[in-house]
Amino acid sequence: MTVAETAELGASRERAGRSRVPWLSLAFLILVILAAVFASWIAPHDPEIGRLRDKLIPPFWQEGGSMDHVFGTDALGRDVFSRVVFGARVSLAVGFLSVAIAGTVGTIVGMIAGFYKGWVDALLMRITDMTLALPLILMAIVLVAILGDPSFGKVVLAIVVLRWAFYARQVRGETLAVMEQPYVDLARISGASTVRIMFRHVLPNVMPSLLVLATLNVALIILVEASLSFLGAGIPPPTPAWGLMVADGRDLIELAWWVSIIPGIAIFLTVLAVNLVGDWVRDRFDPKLRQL
Amino acid sequence: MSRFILARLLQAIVSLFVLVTVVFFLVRLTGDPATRMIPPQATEEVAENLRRAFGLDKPVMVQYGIFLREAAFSLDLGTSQKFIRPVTDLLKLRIGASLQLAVASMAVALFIALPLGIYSAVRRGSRFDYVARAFSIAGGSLPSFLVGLLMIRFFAVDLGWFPISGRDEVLSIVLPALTLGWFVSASFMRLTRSSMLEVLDSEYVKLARIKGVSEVAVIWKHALKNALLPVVTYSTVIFAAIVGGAIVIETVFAWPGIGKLLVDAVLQRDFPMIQGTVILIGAIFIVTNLLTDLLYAFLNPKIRFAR
Repeated sequence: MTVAETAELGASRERAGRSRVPWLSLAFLILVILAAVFASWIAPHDPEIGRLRDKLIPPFWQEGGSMDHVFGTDALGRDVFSRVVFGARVSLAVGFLSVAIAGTVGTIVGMIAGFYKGWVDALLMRITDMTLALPLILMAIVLVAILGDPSFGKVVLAIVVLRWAFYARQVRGETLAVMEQPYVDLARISGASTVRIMFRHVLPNVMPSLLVLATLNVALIILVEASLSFLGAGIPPPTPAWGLMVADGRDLIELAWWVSIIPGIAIFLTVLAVNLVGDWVRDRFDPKLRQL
Repeated sequence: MSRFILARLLQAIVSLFVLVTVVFFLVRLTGDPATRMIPPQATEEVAENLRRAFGLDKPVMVQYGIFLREAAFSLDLGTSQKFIRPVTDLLKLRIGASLQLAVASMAVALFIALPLGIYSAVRRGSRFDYVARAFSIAGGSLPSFLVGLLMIRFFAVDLGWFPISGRDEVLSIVLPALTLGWFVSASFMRLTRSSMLEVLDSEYVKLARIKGVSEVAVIWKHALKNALLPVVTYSTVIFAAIVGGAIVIETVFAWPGIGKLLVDAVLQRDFPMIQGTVILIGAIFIVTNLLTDLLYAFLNPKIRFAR
């Protein structure tokens, strides 16, 4: 078999392998979403209040652990499992909310740039390029610090400010392409307004790749939020955010690994699941983005 | 070519200016630093003196003018409110450690990502490719601080091979560099792979194969050189990954670099320090961008010979 044939075979095998629905990731993601929504029913203990007498109990499979605290307790005697369950709320809420807002802002900016072209486009794209050139985590920490005492809203705001441009650039490119289509001219001749053309003709065409970008971006944003919390520049304690929990357990890594490693694994598995589902969404709806 | 260089240079200077301006005014939005620095029971006179000492009594535009002048001509970025020392001095003390870590982790990333990326592209669809791509997706999903903590637990605590943190021993750099390098290598590998795949599919590689050039020569001489070109342009992405990663990893390992300095400044609300650090990192970023573009133009004959 020649190399070319091998490559061809590999490619078709790759295509076949890639179009499968990642059931396991999808199931895990649904589980995390359910945990976030029904946290108060699922968590056996209060995530923010612990008993000092119960501090640093190991997880159930280790000596000294019990089923009362399946993942053990932290230095303040708080139940790690309950905190992980509630932590899903923070991660998913920040992830989905900031991507939704940034995506909406970016789409509007991108459509305006692609629709009006000329200096509007040039100006908006310069701002877009500059925003995209900023290192995300660095600027996110700085922005949160500048906005004052960290809070949920400020973390979301900082991410939106730094992330809208990512969508704007993509949407602008696709808007330019759509505007070349004859049906847009037809719509204009028949008297359709600017807003109508944008929402009836441009938006539906932009939607698939927007959805793909957004899904993959949720994974990145969950990581960014976790890093911010880890550094102490994110959502403030005692709210259980996964990154914050890892930071809490940092100095206990020798004594009580579970305090930091278990929430760390929660971040990893969630981000991995979103990434794998995102990959599938991309292959399914917009294969041309595969290079990204 | 010279016209291109000039245009790019000008663009870089404008970017730097915009960055400095935006950071300056953003930081000023945070309110009066004097009230943060003194205890609440201090008199207005104390606050007034402090404002005068830091030049905060002047109108904002005057402050901005002074800041620009000092930054441009004497590289003075103001005084840290926490350390009461020039920001530039503090940055100078820390930059060495950061550069060391950046270079070491870049070496780690190259060592992991290039062979994996190239080989999985050549053996596309094979089991090796599958594992390499799984590594890349998993690597991109792992929070860097988790990797750092696991490294500390296994290699420093359990095995005792390396120091837990700090920068006092020669071996101190191993764990932070491995963690940061691994973090960067995931996206790096993906880039190398997709770039290599594209080149392997090109006409000239096909021609080389038809001519009977050996597979090794096709990959090393014909494909690799061209595949690495787009990777070079992505060095900004990689640089951003290193900066972002370094902030977290320097904190995990108490590595005394710029990233740690920034996090401390953020936690202590030391705004001149934040401002100085961001301007320094931004400047390095813009210069890297510029050099990459010039290097790309130099490597790519299409741009080199245009006009």
